[in-house]
Amino acid sequence: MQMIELLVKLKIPDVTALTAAAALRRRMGYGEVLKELTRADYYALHLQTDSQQSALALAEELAESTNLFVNPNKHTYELRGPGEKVKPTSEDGVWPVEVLVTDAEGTEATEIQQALKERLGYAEQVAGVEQGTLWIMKVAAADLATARQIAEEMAVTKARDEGLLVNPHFQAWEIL
Amino acid sequence: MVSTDAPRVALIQFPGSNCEWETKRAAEAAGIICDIFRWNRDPSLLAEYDGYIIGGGFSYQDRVRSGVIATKEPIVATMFEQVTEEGKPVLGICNGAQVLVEAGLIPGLNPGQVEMALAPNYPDPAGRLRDFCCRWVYLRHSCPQGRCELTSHMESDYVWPVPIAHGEGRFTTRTAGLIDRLRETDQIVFQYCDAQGNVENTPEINPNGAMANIAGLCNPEGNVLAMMPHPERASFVRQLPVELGASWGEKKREAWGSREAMAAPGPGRLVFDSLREALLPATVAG
Repeated sequence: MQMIELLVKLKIPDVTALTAAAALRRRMGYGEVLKELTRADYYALHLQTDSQQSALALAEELAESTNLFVNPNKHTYELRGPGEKVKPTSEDGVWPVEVLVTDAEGTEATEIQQALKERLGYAEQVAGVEQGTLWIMKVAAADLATARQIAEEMAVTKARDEGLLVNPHFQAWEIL
Repeated sequence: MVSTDAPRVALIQFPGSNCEWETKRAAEAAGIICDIFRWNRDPSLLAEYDGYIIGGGFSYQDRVRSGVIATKEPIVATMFEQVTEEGKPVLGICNGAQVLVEAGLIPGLNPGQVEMALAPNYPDPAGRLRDFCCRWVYLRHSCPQGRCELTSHMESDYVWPVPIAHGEGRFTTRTAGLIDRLRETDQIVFQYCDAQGNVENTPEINPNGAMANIAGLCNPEGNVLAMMPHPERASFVRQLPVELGASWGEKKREAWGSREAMAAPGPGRLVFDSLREALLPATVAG
Protein backbone atom coordinates (compact mmCIF):
# COMPACT_ATOMS: atom_id res chain seq x y z
CA MET A 1 0.00 0.00 0.00
CA GLN A 2 1.29 3.44 -0.95
CA MET A 3 0.04 6.84 0.15
CA ILE A 4 0.27 9.75 -2.25
CA GLU A 5 -0.74 13.30 -1.38
CA LEU A 6 -2.64 15.22 -4.05
CA LEU A 7 -2.74 19.00 -3.60
CA VAL A 8 -5.17 20.92 -5.79
CA LYS A 9 -4.93 24.70 -6.05
CA LEU A 10 -6.87 27.35 -7.91
CA LYS A 11 -5.22 28.96 -10.92
CA ILE A 12 -6.98 32.22 -10.23
CA PRO A 13 -6.43 34.18 -6.99
CA ASP A 14 -7.89 32.23 -4.09
CA VAL A 15 -10.23 34.73 -2.44
CA THR A 16 -10.71 32.51 0.62
CA ALA A 17 -6.98 32.46 1.31
CA LEU A 18 -6.72 36.18 0.60
CA THR A 19 -9.59 36.95 3.00
CA ALA A 20 -8.11 34.72 5.69
CA ALA A 21 -4.72 36.39 5.28
CA ALA A 22 -6.30 39.85 5.48
CA ALA A 23 -8.18 38.92 8.67
CA LEU A 24 -5.05 37.48 10.27
CA ARG A 25 -2.91 40.47 9.35
CA ARG A 26 -5.31 43.39 9.71
CA ARG A 27 -7.61 42.19 12.48
CA MET A 28 -5.64 39.68 14.51
CA GLY A 29 -2.19 41.20 14.77
CA TYR A 30 -0.17 38.88 12.55
CA GLY A 31 0.82 41.56 10.03
CA GLU A 32 4.51 41.25 10.79
CA VAL A 33 4.80 37.47 10.93
CA LEU A 34 2.44 36.11 8.29
CA LYS A 35 4.31 36.62 5.03
CA GLU A 36 2.15 34.44 2.80
CA LEU A 37 -0.95 32.28 3.06
CA THR A 38 -2.17 29.96 0.35
CA ARG A 39 -4.55 27.02 0.37
CA ALA A 40 -5.02 23.70 -1.39
CA ASP A 41 -7.64 20.99 -1.43
CA TYR A 42 -5.82 18.04 0.11
CA TYR A 43 -6.34 14.37 -0.74
CA ALA A 44 -4.49 11.40 0.70
CA LEU A 45 -4.74 8.64 -1.88
CA HIS A 46 -4.22 5.14 -0.45
CA LEU A 47 -3.27 3.05 -3.44
CA GLN A 48 -2.74 -0.68 -3.87
CA THR A 49 0.42 -0.62 -5.93
CA ASP A 50 3.75 -2.40 -5.62
CA SER A 51 5.99 0.67 -5.73
CA GLN A 52 5.94 4.38 -5.08
CA GLN A 53 6.66 5.01 -8.74
CA SER A 54 3.60 3.09 -9.89
CA ALA A 55 1.55 4.78 -7.15
CA LEU A 56 2.61 8.20 -8.47
CA ALA A 57 1.67 7.13 -12.00
CA LEU A 58 -1.76 5.96 -10.82
CA ALA A 59 -2.27 9.15 -8.80
CA GLU A 60 -1.45 11.21 -11.89
CA GLU A 61 -4.00 9.22 -13.87
CA LEU A 62 -6.65 9.82 -11.18
CA ALA A 63 -5.88 13.54 -11.14
CA GLU A 64 -5.78 13.90 -14.92
CA SER A 65 -8.61 11.74 -16.13
CA THR A 66 -11.33 11.16 -13.55
CA ASN A 67 -12.64 14.75 -13.22
CA LEU A 68 -13.11 14.09 -9.51
CA PHE A 69 -10.20 16.08 -8.18
CA VAL A 70 -8.98 18.53 -10.80
CA ASN A 71 -10.76 20.76 -13.29
CA PRO A 72 -7.93 21.73 -15.66
CA ASN A 73 -9.74 24.96 -16.55
CA LYS A 74 -9.29 26.30 -13.04
CA HIS A 75 -6.95 24.05 -11.08
CA THR A 76 -3.31 23.11 -10.91
CA TYR A 77 -2.17 20.12 -8.92
CA GLU A 78 0.88 18.63 -7.27
CA LEU A 79 1.61 15.06 -6.19
CA ARG A 80 3.78 14.20 -3.20
CA GLY A 81 5.08 10.83 -2.21
CA PRO A 82 5.86 10.08 1.43
CA GLY A 83 9.58 10.33 0.93
CA GLU A 84 9.48 13.60 -0.94
CA LYS A 85 8.80 15.97 1.91
CA VAL A 86 12.02 17.71 2.88
CA LYS A 87 12.67 19.37 6.23
CA PRO A 88 11.53 23.01 5.97
CA THR A 89 14.31 25.53 5.68
CA SER A 90 14.27 29.24 6.38
CA GLU A 91 14.59 31.93 3.74
CA ASP A 92 15.71 35.11 5.51
CA GLY A 93 14.00 34.03 8.72
CA VAL A 94 10.75 33.02 7.01
CA TRP A 95 9.64 29.41 7.51
CA PRO A 96 7.15 27.38 5.52
CA VAL A 97 4.54 25.69 7.71
CA GLU A 98 1.62 23.58 6.54
CA VAL A 99 -1.57 23.17 8.55
CA LEU A 100 -3.85 20.33 7.51
CA VAL A 101 -7.49 20.84 8.52
CA THR A 102 -9.86 17.88 8.39
CA ASP A 103 -13.32 16.98 9.58
CA ALA A 104 -12.96 15.62 13.12
CA GLU A 105 -15.85 13.25 12.50
CA GLY A 106 -14.21 11.54 9.54
CA THR A 107 -11.73 12.28 6.81
CA GLU A 108 -13.00 9.73 4.32
CA ALA A 109 -13.99 11.18 0.93
CA THR A 110 -16.93 8.82 0.67
CA GLU A 111 -18.46 10.01 -2.58
CA ILE A 112 -15.11 10.17 -4.38
CA GLN A 113 -14.22 6.69 -3.18
CA GLN A 114 -17.59 5.42 -4.28
CA ALA A 115 -17.20 6.96 -7.72
CA LEU A 116 -13.69 5.60 -8.15
CA LYS A 117 -14.55 2.10 -7.04
CA GLU A 118 -18.08 1.57 -8.31
CA ARG A 119 -18.32 3.74 -11.40
CA LEU A 120 -14.82 4.26 -12.74
CA GLY A 121 -13.33 0.80 -12.26
CA TYR A 122 -10.62 1.49 -9.67
CA ALA A 123 -11.99 -0.90 -7.05
CA GLU A 124 -8.80 -2.96 -6.82
CA GLN A 125 -6.29 -0.13 -7.05
CA VAL A 126 -7.80 2.48 -4.73
CA ALA A 127 -8.02 1.42 -1.11
CA GLY A 128 -9.20 4.74 0.20
CA VAL A 129 -9.27 8.51 -0.19
CA GLU A 130 -9.11 11.01 2.65
CA GLN A 131 -9.67 14.73 2.23
CA GLY A 132 -9.05 18.02 3.95
CA THR A 133 -7.84 21.56 3.43
CA LEU A 134 -4.14 22.37 3.49
CA TRP A 135 -3.18 25.89 4.57
CA ILE A 136 0.33 26.76 3.49
CA MET A 137 1.89 29.55 5.50
CA LYS A 138 5.15 31.44 5.38
CA VAL A 139 5.88 32.62 8.89
CA ALA A 140 8.64 34.95 10.09
CA ALA A 141 10.15 33.49 13.25
CA ALA A 142 13.46 32.85 14.97
CA ASP A 143 13.28 29.11 14.33
CA LEU A 144 11.03 26.42 12.93
CA ALA A 145 9.58 25.44 16.31
CA THR A 146 8.46 29.02 16.92
CA ALA A 147 7.06 29.28 13.40
CA ARG A 148 5.02 26.10 13.97
CA GLN A 149 3.75 27.46 17.29
CA ILE A 150 2.65 30.74 15.67
CA ALA A 151 0.99 28.82 12.84
CA GLU A 152 -1.01 26.80 15.35
CA GLU A 153 -2.04 29.97 17.19
CA MET A 154 -3.25 31.50 13.94
CA ALA A 155 -5.09 28.34 13.00
CA VAL A 156 -6.97 27.10 16.04
CA THR A 157 -9.98 29.14 17.10
CA LYS A 158 -10.17 29.26 20.87
CA ALA A 159 -11.82 32.63 21.31
CA ARG A 160 -13.29 35.46 19.26
CA ASP A 161 -9.86 37.02 18.92
CA GLU A 162 -7.78 33.82 18.89
CA GLY A 163 -7.40 31.60 15.85
CA LEU A 164 -9.19 31.52 12.53
CA LEU A 165 -8.80 28.44 10.38
CA VAL A 166 -10.09 25.60 12.58
CA ASN A 167 -13.09 25.28 14.86
CA PRO A 168 -11.98 22.42 17.13
CA HIS A 169 -15.58 21.51 17.93
CA PHE A 170 -15.95 19.86 14.54
CA GLN A 171 -12.55 20.02 12.88
CA ALA A 172 -9.16 18.43 13.50
CA TRP A 173 -5.78 19.87 12.58
CA GLU A 174 -2.22 18.77 12.14
CA ILE A 175 0.90 20.87 11.71
CA LEU A 176 2.79 19.06 8.98
CA MET B 1 -45.40 53.44 10.52
CA VAL B 2 -43.15 52.93 13.54
CA SER B 3 -43.35 55.59 16.26
CA THR B 4 -40.26 57.81 16.43
CA ASP B 5 -39.90 57.09 20.15
CA ALA B 6 -39.92 53.34 19.51
CA PRO B 7 -36.84 51.33 20.50
CA ARG B 8 -34.07 51.22 17.93
CA VAL B 9 -32.00 48.30 16.77
CA ALA B 10 -29.04 48.22 14.45
CA LEU B 11 -29.28 45.39 11.95
CA ILE B 12 -25.65 44.76 11.11
CA GLN B 13 -25.05 44.25 7.42
CA PHE B 14 -21.88 42.43 6.42
CA PRO B 15 -20.72 41.90 2.85
CA GLY B 16 -22.77 38.85 1.89
CA SER B 17 -25.73 39.45 4.20
CA ASN B 18 -28.93 38.86 2.23
CA CYS B 19 -31.86 38.85 4.64
CA GLU B 20 -31.62 42.39 5.98
CA TRP B 21 -34.65 43.87 4.27
CA GLU B 22 -37.18 41.22 5.23
CA THR B 23 -35.75 41.18 8.76
CA LYS B 24 -36.11 44.96 8.95
CA ARG B 25 -39.70 44.62 7.73
CA ALA B 26 -40.48 42.00 10.38
CA ALA B 27 -38.88 44.11 13.13
CA GLU B 28 -40.76 47.23 12.03
CA ALA B 29 -44.03 45.31 12.00
CA ALA B 30 -43.33 44.59 15.68
CA GLY B 31 -42.89 48.31 16.40
CA ILE B 32 -39.10 48.54 16.34
CA ILE B 33 -37.09 51.18 14.50
CA CYS B 34 -34.59 49.07 12.58
CA ASP B 35 -31.61 50.68 10.87
CA ILE B 36 -29.49 48.66 8.50
CA PHE B 37 -25.96 49.37 9.75
CA ARG B 38 -23.06 48.62 7.43
CA TRP B 39 -20.18 46.73 8.96
CA ASN B 40 -17.60 49.35 7.99
CA ARG B 41 -19.28 52.33 9.67
CA ASP B 42 -17.80 53.82 12.83
CA PRO B 43 -18.44 51.05 15.39
CA SER B 44 -18.82 53.56 18.23
CA LEU B 45 -22.17 54.57 16.69
CA LEU B 46 -23.54 51.21 17.81
CA ALA B 47 -23.77 52.60 21.33
CA GLU B 48 -26.72 54.73 20.18
CA TYR B 49 -28.85 51.64 19.66
CA ASP B 50 -30.91 49.68 22.18
CA GLY B 51 -30.02 46.30 20.68
CA TYR B 52 -28.83 44.48 17.61
CA ILE B 53 -29.82 41.97 14.98
CA ILE B 54 -27.44 40.01 12.80
CA GLY B 55 -29.46 38.52 10.00
CA GLY B 56 -29.05 35.71 7.56
CA GLY B 57 -26.91 35.38 4.49
CA PHE B 58 -23.33 34.51 3.75
CA SER B 59 -21.07 37.04 5.44
CA TYR B 60 -17.78 37.14 3.55
CA GLN B 61 -19.16 34.42 1.29
CA ASP B 62 -18.75 31.91 4.15
CA ARG B 63 -15.01 31.97 3.44
CA VAL B 64 -13.00 29.72 5.81
CA ARG B 65 -16.29 28.80 7.57
CA SER B 66 -19.63 30.44 8.17
CA GLY B 67 -19.52 33.61 10.23
CA VAL B 68 -15.92 33.44 11.35
CA ILE B 69 -14.41 36.27 9.28
CA ALA B 70 -17.15 38.65 10.44
CA THR B 71 -16.30 37.98 14.08
CA LYS B 72 -12.86 39.53 13.60
CA GLU B 73 -14.32 42.87 12.50
CA PRO B 74 -14.19 45.84 14.91
CA ILE B 75 -17.97 46.18 14.73
CA VAL B 76 -18.39 42.77 16.35
CA ALA B 77 -15.91 43.68 19.08
CA THR B 78 -17.98 46.79 19.85
CA MET B 79 -21.25 44.86 19.74
CA PHE B 80 -19.68 42.25 22.04
CA GLU B 81 -18.95 44.99 24.61
CA GLN B 82 -22.43 46.47 24.33
CA VAL B 83 -24.00 43.06 24.84
CA THR B 84 -21.80 41.75 27.63
CA GLU B 85 -21.21 45.01 29.53
CA GLU B 86 -24.44 46.94 28.91
CA GLY B 87 -26.72 43.91 28.69
CA LYS B 88 -28.23 44.96 25.37
CA PRO B 89 -30.10 42.23 23.50
CA VAL B 90 -28.92 40.72 20.25
CA LEU B 91 -30.76 38.36 17.95
CA GLY B 92 -28.69 36.27 15.54
CA ILE B 93 -30.58 34.54 12.77
CA CYS B 94 -28.92 31.85 10.64
CA ASN B 95 -25.63 33.44 9.56
CA GLY B 96 -26.13 35.78 12.50
CA ALA B 97 -26.30 32.73 14.77
CA GLN B 98 -23.07 31.47 13.24
CA VAL B 99 -21.44 34.84 13.99
CA LEU B 100 -22.64 34.75 17.61
CA VAL B 101 -21.29 31.23 18.15
CA GLU B 102 -17.92 32.04 16.56
CA ALA B 103 -17.79 35.27 18.59
CA GLY B 104 -18.15 33.33 21.83
CA LEU B 105 -21.46 34.97 22.77
CA ILE B 106 -23.32 31.66 22.46
CA PRO B 107 -23.53 29.63 24.60
CA GLY B 108 -21.57 32.31 26.44
CA LEU B 109 -20.66 30.42 29.60
CA ASN B 110 -17.25 32.03 29.25
CA PRO B 111 -17.97 35.03 27.05
CA GLY B 112 -15.53 35.31 24.20
CA GLN B 113 -14.48 31.66 24.34
CA VAL B 114 -15.61 29.54 21.40
CA GLU B 115 -17.41 26.65 23.10
CA MET B 116 -19.43 25.28 20.20
CA ALA B 117 -19.68 25.13 16.44
CA LEU B 118 -22.37 25.34 13.84
CA ALA B 119 -20.98 22.53 11.77
CA PRO B 120 -22.00 21.38 8.30
CA ASN B 121 -25.32 19.56 8.18
CA TYR B 122 -24.83 15.95 9.13
CA PRO B 123 -24.06 13.78 6.12
CA ASP B 124 -25.28 10.34 7.07
CA PRO B 125 -26.54 7.64 4.76
CA ALA B 126 -29.85 7.37 6.59
CA GLY B 127 -31.29 10.15 4.50
CA ARG B 128 -30.53 13.11 6.72
CA LEU B 129 -30.35 16.28 4.67
CA ARG B 130 -26.84 17.31 3.81
CA ASP B 131 -25.25 20.33 2.25
CA PHE B 132 -27.61 23.28 1.89
CA CYS B 133 -31.05 22.51 3.27
CA CYS B 134 -34.10 24.74 2.70
CA ARG B 135 -37.50 23.71 4.04
CA TRP B 136 -40.12 24.33 6.71
CA VAL B 137 -39.61 22.71 10.10
CA TYR B 138 -41.34 22.83 13.47
CA LEU B 139 -39.75 24.24 16.60
CA ARG B 140 -40.64 23.73 20.23
CA HIS B 141 -40.02 26.57 22.65
CA SER B 142 -38.16 24.41 25.14
CA CYS B 143 -37.28 26.86 27.90
CA PRO B 144 -39.59 28.45 30.47
CA GLN B 145 -41.35 31.56 29.26
CA GLY B 146 -39.22 34.58 30.12
CA ARG B 147 -35.94 32.63 30.43
CA CYS B 148 -34.77 34.21 27.19
CA GLU B 149 -35.58 37.89 26.71
CA LEU B 150 -36.03 37.36 23.01
CA THR B 151 -38.81 34.79 23.39
CA SER B 152 -40.64 36.33 26.33
CA HIS B 153 -43.87 36.54 24.30
CA MET B 154 -43.82 32.81 23.62
CA GLU B 155 -45.31 30.28 26.01
CA SER B 156 -43.20 27.36 27.07
CA ASP B 157 -43.70 24.29 24.83
CA TYR B 158 -45.18 26.48 22.08
CA VAL B 159 -44.82 24.67 18.75
CA TRP B 160 -44.51 26.73 15.59
CA PRO B 161 -43.56 26.34 11.94
CA VAL B 162 -40.62 28.25 10.49
CA PRO B 163 -38.31 27.81 7.51
CA ILE B 164 -34.65 26.85 7.67
CA ALA B 165 -32.11 27.56 4.93
CA HIS B 166 -28.54 26.62 5.76
CA GLY B 167 -25.65 24.33 4.99
CA GLU B 168 -23.81 24.76 8.29
CA GLY B 169 -26.42 24.71 11.01
CA ARG B 170 -25.65 21.74 13.22
CA PHE B 171 -25.10 22.87 16.80
CA THR B 172 -22.29 20.69 18.10
CA THR B 173 -19.57 20.79 20.72
CA ARG B 174 -16.64 18.77 22.00
CA THR B 175 -16.82 20.42 25.40
CA ALA B 176 -17.61 17.58 27.78
CA GLY B 177 -20.88 18.00 29.65
CA LEU B 178 -21.82 21.22 27.87
CA ILE B 179 -25.15 20.01 26.48
CA ASP B 180 -26.20 18.72 29.92
CA ARG B 181 -25.29 22.06 31.40
CA LEU B 182 -27.29 23.92 28.76
CA ARG B 183 -30.29 21.75 29.63
CA GLU B 184 -29.85 22.45 33.33
CA THR B 185 -29.65 26.19 32.77
CA ASP B 186 -32.56 26.22 30.30
CA GLN B 187 -30.41 27.80 27.60
CA ILE B 188 -31.86 25.49 24.96
CA VAL B 189 -34.52 27.85 23.64
CA PHE B 190 -35.68 26.05 20.51
CA GLN B 191 -35.56 22.38 19.51
CA TYR B 192 -36.54 20.80 16.22
CA CYS B 193 -39.73 18.79 16.70
CA ASP B 194 -42.69 17.40 14.79
CA ALA B 195 -46.01 19.20 14.43
CA GLN B 196 -47.12 17.75 17.76
CA GLY B 197 -44.03 18.97 19.58
CA ASN B 198 -42.23 15.63 19.86
CA VAL B 199 -38.47 16.12 19.91
CA GLU B 200 -36.88 13.11 18.23
CA ASN B 201 -33.53 12.74 16.54
CA THR B 202 -34.72 11.56 13.16
CA PRO B 203 -33.82 13.04 9.77
CA GLU B 204 -37.42 14.16 9.26
CA ILE B 205 -37.50 16.11 12.53
CA ASN B 206 -33.89 17.14 13.17
CA PRO B 207 -32.83 18.07 9.64
CA ASN B 208 -29.17 18.85 10.26
CA GLY B 209 -28.38 16.37 13.05
CA ALA B 210 -27.92 19.04 15.77
CA MET B 211 -27.01 17.79 19.22
CA ALA B 212 -30.16 17.57 21.37
CA ASN B 213 -32.14 18.81 18.32
CA ILE B 214 -30.95 22.33 19.17
CA ALA B 215 -32.24 25.01 16.81
CA GLY B 216 -31.72 28.00 19.09
CA LEU B 217 -29.68 28.81 22.19
CA CYS B 218 -29.49 31.77 24.52
CA ASN B 219 -26.64 32.91 26.73
CA PRO B 220 -26.83 32.51 30.53
CA GLU B 221 -28.13 36.07 30.95
CA GLY B 222 -30.86 35.49 28.35
CA ASN B 223 -30.14 38.64 26.31
CA VAL B 224 -28.49 36.86 23.37
CA LEU B 225 -30.38 34.43 21.13
CA ALA B 226 -28.81 32.52 18.26
CA MET B 227 -31.26 30.61 16.10
CA MET B 228 -30.75 28.87 12.77
CA PRO B 229 -34.37 29.07 11.49
CA HIS B 230 -35.69 32.33 10.03
CA PRO B 231 -38.49 33.93 12.11
CA GLU B 232 -38.57 36.90 9.72
CA ARG B 233 -39.80 34.52 7.03
CA ALA B 234 -42.71 33.45 9.24
CA SER B 235 -43.72 36.88 10.50
CA PHE B 236 -46.74 37.45 8.26
CA VAL B 237 -49.57 35.08 7.37
CA ARG B 238 -48.81 35.71 3.69
CA GLN B 239 -45.42 34.00 4.13
CA LEU B 240 -46.86 30.71 5.39
CA PRO B 241 -47.44 27.84 2.98
CA VAL B 242 -50.96 26.45 2.89
CA GLU B 243 -49.35 23.00 2.87
CA LEU B 244 -48.47 23.43 6.55
CA GLY B 245 -52.01 22.35 7.33
CA ALA B 246 -53.32 22.61 10.89
CA SER B 247 -53.97 26.07 12.31
CA TRP B 248 -51.36 28.13 10.46
CA GLY B 249 -52.10 26.54 7.09
CA GLU B 250 -55.79 27.14 7.74
CA LYS B 251 -55.15 30.79 8.60
CA LYS B 252 -53.38 31.23 5.29
CA ARG B 253 -56.25 29.58 3.47
CA GLU B 254 -58.78 31.80 5.21
CA ALA B 255 -56.69 34.88 4.44
CA TRP B 256 -56.78 34.21 0.73
CA GLY B 257 -57.92 37.38 -1.11
CA SER B 258 -57.68 39.69 1.92
CA ARG B 259 -54.72 42.05 2.09
CA GLU B 260 -55.32 42.74 5.79
CA ALA B 261 -55.58 39.07 6.72
CA MET B 262 -52.45 38.26 4.74
CA ALA B 263 -50.55 40.99 6.64
CA ALA B 264 -51.58 39.57 10.02
CA PRO B 265 -48.78 38.26 12.25
CA GLY B 266 -47.34 34.83 11.62
CA PRO B 267 -45.78 32.74 14.38
CA GLY B 268 -42.29 34.23 13.92
CA ARG B 269 -43.62 37.66 14.93
CA LEU B 270 -43.46 36.56 18.57
CA VAL B 271 -39.66 36.67 18.41
CA PHE B 272 -39.71 40.29 17.23
CA ASP B 273 -42.44 41.23 19.74
CA SER B 274 -40.19 39.78 22.44
CA LEU B 275 -37.21 41.69 21.07
CA ARG B 276 -39.20 44.93 21.21
CA GLU B 277 -40.01 44.31 24.86
CA ALA B 278 -36.37 43.46 25.61
CA LEU B 279 -35.36 46.78 24.05
CA LEU B 280 -37.74 48.94 26.05
CA PRO B 281 -35.87 49.00 29.39
CA ALA B 282 -32.70 50.07 27.59
CA THR B 283 -34.62 52.89 25.93
CA VAL B 284 -36.10 54.04 29.22
CA ALA B 285 -32.71 53.86 30.91
CA GLY B 286 -31.09 55.78 28.08
